[in-house]
Amino acid sequence: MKEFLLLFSMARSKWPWLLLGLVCSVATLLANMALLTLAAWFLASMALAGASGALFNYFLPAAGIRALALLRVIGRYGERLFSHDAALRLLAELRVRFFERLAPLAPAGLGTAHSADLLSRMRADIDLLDNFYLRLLLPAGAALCVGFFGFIFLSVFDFTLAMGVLGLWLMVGVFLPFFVLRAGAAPGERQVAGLARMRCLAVDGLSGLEELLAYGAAGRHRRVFARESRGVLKDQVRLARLDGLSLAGVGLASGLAGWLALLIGIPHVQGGVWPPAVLPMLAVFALVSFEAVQPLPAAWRMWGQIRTATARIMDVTERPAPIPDPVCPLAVPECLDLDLRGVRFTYPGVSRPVLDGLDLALPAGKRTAVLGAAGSGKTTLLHLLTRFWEAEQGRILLNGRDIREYAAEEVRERMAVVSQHVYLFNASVAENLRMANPQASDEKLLAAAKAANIEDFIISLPQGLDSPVGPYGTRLSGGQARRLAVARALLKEAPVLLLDEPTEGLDEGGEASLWRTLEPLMHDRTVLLITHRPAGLEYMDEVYFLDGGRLVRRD
Amino acid sequence: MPPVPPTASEGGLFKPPSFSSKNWLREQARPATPLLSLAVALGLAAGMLLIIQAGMLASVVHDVIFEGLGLDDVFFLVLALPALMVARAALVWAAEQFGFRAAAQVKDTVRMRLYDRLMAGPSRLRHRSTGDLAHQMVDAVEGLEAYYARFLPQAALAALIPFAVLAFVFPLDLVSGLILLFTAPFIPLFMVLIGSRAERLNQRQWRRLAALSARFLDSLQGLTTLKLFNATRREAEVIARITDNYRENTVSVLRVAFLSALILEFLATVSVALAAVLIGFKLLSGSMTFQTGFFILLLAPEFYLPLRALGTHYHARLSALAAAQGIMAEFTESPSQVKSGSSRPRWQSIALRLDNISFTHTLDRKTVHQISADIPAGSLAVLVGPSGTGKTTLLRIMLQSLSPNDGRVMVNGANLAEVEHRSWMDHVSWMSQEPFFFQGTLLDNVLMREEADLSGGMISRLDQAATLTGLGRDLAVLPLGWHTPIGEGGDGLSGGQRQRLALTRAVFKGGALFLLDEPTAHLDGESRETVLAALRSLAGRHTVIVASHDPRVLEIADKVVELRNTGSDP
Repeated sequence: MKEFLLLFSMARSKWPWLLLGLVCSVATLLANMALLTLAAWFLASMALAGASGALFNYFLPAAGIRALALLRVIGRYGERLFSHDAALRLLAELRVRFFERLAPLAPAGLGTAHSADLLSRMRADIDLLDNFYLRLLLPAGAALCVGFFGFIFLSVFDFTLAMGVLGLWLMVGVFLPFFVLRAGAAPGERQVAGLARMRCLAVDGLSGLEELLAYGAAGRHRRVFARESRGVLKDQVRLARLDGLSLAGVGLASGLAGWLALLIGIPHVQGGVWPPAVLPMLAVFALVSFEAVQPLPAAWRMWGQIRTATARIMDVTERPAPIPDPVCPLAVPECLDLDLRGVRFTYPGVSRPVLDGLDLALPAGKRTAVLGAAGSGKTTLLHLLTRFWEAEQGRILLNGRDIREYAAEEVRERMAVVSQHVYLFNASVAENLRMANPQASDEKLLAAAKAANIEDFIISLPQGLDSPVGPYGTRLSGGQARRLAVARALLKEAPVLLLDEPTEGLDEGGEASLWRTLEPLMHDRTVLLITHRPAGLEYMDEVYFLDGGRLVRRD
Repeated sequence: MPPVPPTASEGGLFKPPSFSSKNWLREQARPATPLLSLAVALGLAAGMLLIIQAGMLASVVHDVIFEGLGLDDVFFLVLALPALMVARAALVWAAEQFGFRAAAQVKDTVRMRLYDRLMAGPSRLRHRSTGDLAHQMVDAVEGLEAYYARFLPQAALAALIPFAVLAFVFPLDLVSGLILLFTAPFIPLFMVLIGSRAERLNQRQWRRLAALSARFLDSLQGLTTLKLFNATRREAEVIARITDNYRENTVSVLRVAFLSALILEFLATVSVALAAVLIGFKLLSGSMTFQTGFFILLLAPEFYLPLRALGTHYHARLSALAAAQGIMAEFTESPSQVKSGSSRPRWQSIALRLDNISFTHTLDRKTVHQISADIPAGSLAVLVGPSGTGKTTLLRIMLQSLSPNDGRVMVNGANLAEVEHRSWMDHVSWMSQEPFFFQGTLLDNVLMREEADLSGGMISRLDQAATLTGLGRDLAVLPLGWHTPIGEGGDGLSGGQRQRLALTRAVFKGGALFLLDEPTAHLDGESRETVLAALRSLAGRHTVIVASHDPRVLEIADKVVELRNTGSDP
């Protein structure tokens, strides 16, 4: 129900278009019903007039038949155009909103969510929602309107017949869909989840192919994938069975409605209650009135899938941000003194805190290094400063005020990070660099590249700055990717420079040369170097050891 | 019955660029032909019942109105009608199912063939986005469904049922028959005229969708990086722009599709209206009985119904054609460049000889230049050289992920190119620079092949391996120990822990040859010494080849292979 309300309220901005689609849809359905009903009456009347030799004004019905035919054709086109346009606009809006809501969650609020699973939500799940508007909401609304008019029309002639046909409409439009919905909910949900798992498996398998082959796990992966795939297919066949049931049910009910018209109408005609031409007219009316309810069972069958998809989307969009911004954030000063006091932090699901009672002062313009073994919490320190995680105890002060009083984005604006794991986007060198500074000119990019000692390489590439780096930067070597990341951080021109193992993956010569290029850039900047290697320490003012969650000064 | 009866839309009027993907789609249907034929036969039978039903209805109404008969007189027919309807419903239900079963069969076959194809050779994939490939394997295959389940059976019915209807109408009324006969061919004709344009648009749209997927995956995987640069809002704008662009393109594809539906609808509706009016005049003049006229009026919509249904499924066909193009491309692309032979040796120890190996990748410019070296069995060899000289590439050549452009790798005197890949993999423990981990437990990621069902002996072997690499110390502080869950790509582990976990996996497998890329990266002091000691103790029993720029590794090595810059760039 929650999902239904969300989908319904989302449509608010586009309701005039959806309503227009509805009006067209009702007009189309009514026109077709009227066309065939009128034709049946016309034929009977003409035949009767022919038999009795009486006069019959055939101009009006003949013209009516042609007009209705045109109305139907135009109505159908309008309905499709208006409703599809509105629905697609809604989806586009939702996709952007999904990403905007997702961004504040990363990384603390996402847990171990798989990126391919998030992709499934952002792409396939959202795409699925157009069914809600086009195949569910609109046809249901149209069927309701058509049913209303149809009932009134039938009750003019015979109330019992009207009630009987109404019963059949309800059967096909409500009870059958309800049954199909109940029966289809579980396989529908399983199908969506199964497809999402298959995407994860495919992404995993393709990226880990060498490992899979080397460790003989390719067969196992194939079996798991095949099992998922067959599970999904099985559910799809199950759903198809329900689809078949709906289709057959509609055909049967429509036939029965026509039959009911005969059953009730024949005595009326014989008793002279109805003019004879009414019998074929109502029989045809009853038959064709099912065009309106026909799409409903299959549409409701989709509801299982739609609900799962909506719930998966809401799971992200409705999740509270793990690190909320203050209501009235303070302005972040240009020049920053950072001070960590008694900071304690434990990762979720881990028993021991990684930082415990940590004190560290990072005065503006000073360079500080924190040395520590792997797993000692060095990177955690960085995540706390960049506001990716929140300290559970203690405070981080920024110019004497709690860091929580500032907006996280403002804080990050002042920090440039070269982290241990470089992520490069599947885009050009320039695009990857401009991430840090969208307005930077090519000259500026190359200047930063020169500072990071990678200018020559970039120039040597066939397309220079516009050369693609490949997915995850695979066209670059580890060292080249690292230098590009350094250049990217330098372009940001932030007063605080956070270096997390900046020379990891470089050989000794490269390490030394990178430090030489970093040196002038560290002037007038607050620097925090996090490392386990002794290189670069000579450029630092203070060096601490991180051990057991606390800092020890090195003398 | 042929699997696909030729409708005009499939005919040779035009030869759009996707001609071969049509053939491909039909070829895939071959194994499902019995199921599809059954679906068509049942659908046809249901159609025939509908004609009979209309005939009975017309006869009853005629008898009542014109012969003055009552309910008792037509009782038999009135009773027979519901029986007919129930039979028809059963046929419709069955036909629908067989169509879907056929589609499921085709999807399963295609998907697993595609899986096998994509998973066959790693080197080919290194420059493709995994998001794009996963899309082909999962969603593109799903995109085929409606074609087999609905379009193909409907195409057959669209060719058969109208003829059945005509067979009844012509003897009764020539004019109505002619109206139907002459309007019918226009429907497929217009479908082809408009369809071929829609098809081109739609194919472009499908490629856009794949690109969109890849782009989104990149944004999601790099989300933390985007946040560090406060670029998420800019990225949201980019996403807004590309989704909006995608939407506009979708609408333009739909507009063409709707236009074809419009023409279809126009022809069908107007001819029914025309037939009704003409029949009306015949009835007035008395040259036709009401029974005949009413029967034709009831049949006329049924004549167009299969054609109109085909129109609604035409979009399914377009999507399937576009999806098929993407899938076909994966099959036609040149197969894995790795040359792997068929010999299946079983070696206890491995001595390697690198014989003048060169490798150039035009895309990467990653180059290995004329490397020769002898690596005796049981030695600890180190590949050294400045970054970019192809240490990793050389390891991948020895892993058989890449084939050298020139030169040979000789294993115990045999050419590696002649050894079957799977058999070679039995000998190798591989650890890449960025080790890959699955979402699962630590245990899953060490065992890899076996299910997580453990005997005591296995546990002690696991613990031994963990102690050797230093992972044991990490396990001791984790409350769940081996069963600690980790996320995609080893999320939740520190750099050093990943390194130790990957090394433990390699040690646990215990291949005759260890190929390790930077095993001491991300490690410091004590844990580095542990790993160094582990390397030393592995050597002797195993041949260990390490790519490293760590001077401490050099110190303990038995053999150093130096890679140099080739000097002049090619």
